[in-house]
Amino acid sequence: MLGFGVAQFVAAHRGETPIPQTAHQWQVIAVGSVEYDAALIHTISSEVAQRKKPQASLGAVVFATDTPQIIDEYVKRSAPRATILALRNNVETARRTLGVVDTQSQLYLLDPAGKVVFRGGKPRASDLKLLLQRYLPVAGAPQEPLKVGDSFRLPGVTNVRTLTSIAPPASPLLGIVFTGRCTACALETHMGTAKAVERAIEKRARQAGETPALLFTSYFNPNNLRSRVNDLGFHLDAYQVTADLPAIDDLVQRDGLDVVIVETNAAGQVSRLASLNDFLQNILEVKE
Amino acid sequence: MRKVLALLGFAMAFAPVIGSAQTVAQAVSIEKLNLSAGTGVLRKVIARGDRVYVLDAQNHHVLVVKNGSTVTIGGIGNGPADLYQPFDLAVDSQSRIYVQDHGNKRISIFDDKGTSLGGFPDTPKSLGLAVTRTGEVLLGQPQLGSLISAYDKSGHRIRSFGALVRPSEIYGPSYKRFDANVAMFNRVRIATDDDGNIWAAFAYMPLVCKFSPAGQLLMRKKLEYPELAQVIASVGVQPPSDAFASMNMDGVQLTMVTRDIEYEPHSRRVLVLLGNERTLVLDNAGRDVSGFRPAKFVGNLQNVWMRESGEVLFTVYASPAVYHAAVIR
Repeated sequence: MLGFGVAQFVAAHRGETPIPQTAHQWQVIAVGSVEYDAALIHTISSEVAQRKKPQASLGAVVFATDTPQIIDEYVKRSAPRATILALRNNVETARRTLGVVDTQSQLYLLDPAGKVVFRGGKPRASDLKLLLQRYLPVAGAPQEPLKVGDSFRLPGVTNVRTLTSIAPPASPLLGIVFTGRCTACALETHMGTAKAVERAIEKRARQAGETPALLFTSYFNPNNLRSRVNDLGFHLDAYQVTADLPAIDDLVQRDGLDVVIVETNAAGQVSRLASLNDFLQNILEVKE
Repeated sequence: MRKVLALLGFAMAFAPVIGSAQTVAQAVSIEKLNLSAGTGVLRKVIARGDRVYVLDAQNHHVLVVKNGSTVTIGGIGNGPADLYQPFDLAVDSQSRIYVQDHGNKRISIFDDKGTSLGGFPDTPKSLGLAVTRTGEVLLGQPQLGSLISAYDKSGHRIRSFGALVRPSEIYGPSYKRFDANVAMFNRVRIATDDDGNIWAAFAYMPLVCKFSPAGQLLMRKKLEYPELAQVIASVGVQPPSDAFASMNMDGVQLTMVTRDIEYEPHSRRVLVLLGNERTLVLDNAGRDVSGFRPAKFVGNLQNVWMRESGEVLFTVYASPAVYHAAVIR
């Protein structure tokens, strides 16, 4: 038992509110970075939203390991439904109530009695969804993952290089979609891989009459993204989607993909969907 | 790079050193296998008779597929029959299933229906899991001062064996900086053969060892394949090359020189998956018999298994598919 609802935490920025009383409510508590665990925190928000009616059944608190400035920027940008607190201002309470001893990302699920029913390190967004499907399922048909034939409309995008709103890329499209399942993995590894095969991507798009583009979900920090795109010297247009892409999220949930290749026809319908591995299989020979 | 290669001619004591015959790796066409079972990101595939065991790290469970029907073992959670971020899998002769339940920091044991048979803490954190014919659970735990430790099913450590190898012995003086953290470089994958011998492939060094059932070193084999030179040259380089798969077990991201080792009982061969997608096929003495590699790149292979028919099964990093290929033995 944690008695978590009565714990006192220190507000670190003006967007913070006190921890709400949590009687009769399940509670998700996460420790993580608003930059590198953004997909998890976003999923927490959407799972809380799904459980608002007929009455709120899920609460959420995130102890962010980032600086107050980064937390502030994130809260302004993303308007999360979870209470975001700076871990650095709540170290002792987090240690006492949750046993948090470092800044490694953690996920806790507490039942309405305050009992911890799950505790796990290095959680992914898909882990939270699986946990809530098990302990606190919601009624209704689940969202379908993106599939061939679906419309692939981007609700709004910004130019990654200029951070300004622009028109989405035209169809037919060859989109290299960075899902944000692990933003650090994308920034450190997958973008490098994409850069290494950029010419092959352009060639493939040219042959198919498609517009090649890098697409990033909203889970990435725009400033980090801009730096990385510029550092790697990409030629391809790069867009960040400003709203949710639930069909992509569900694809990530099902297949755990960090990068998805989405090709569309002139009508904007998905004509081909592939993992990065499968895509590379078609354009690269084995390393030997 | 030339210097590193020259230093690979290190001397091995106490056991015969088997040279590396330069066999040609057969190029095989790799296709996705339709398992008729829903899967997420897979970490390992094992086949026994008509059963295929799949470790699905994304969904925190093991699938046992037989004739199109599937038994699901585990699922996300902290309970005795749950798994969280499972990392490795072994199956014994009684069809018991052993899972390195990484997120729950334990070794979990199940029967083939998915009923928990208990388990024990995986402390210190292991890499490499195998089960002997006598039911010992073998874990690669170099932090304990030996390569491998053997446990009973209750988690009592029975013995440890295998001398640790200093990285500078293999890679030369420039790797002395890693010698103080020798355990990090002695991470091994483990397989057992029909005679009860224990095989270990070093994840971060070009080395394969064979031990007797009692843990006596029988053979050490240097992996001196020219095409492995690029992989070896990137071990310990920060950051590791994107061209090869790497792993962070002990706080440092290191390129993997070998990724898996398995024993194929029907042909009595040992398969060693190298860090460049090539699989070595070794005989009982550790001599090269043959080898194979994918004809086209399908992603970084992480696990290889050969069925009685000669069909080879693979898992690929971050992929939800099992791949297979027909290999001429």
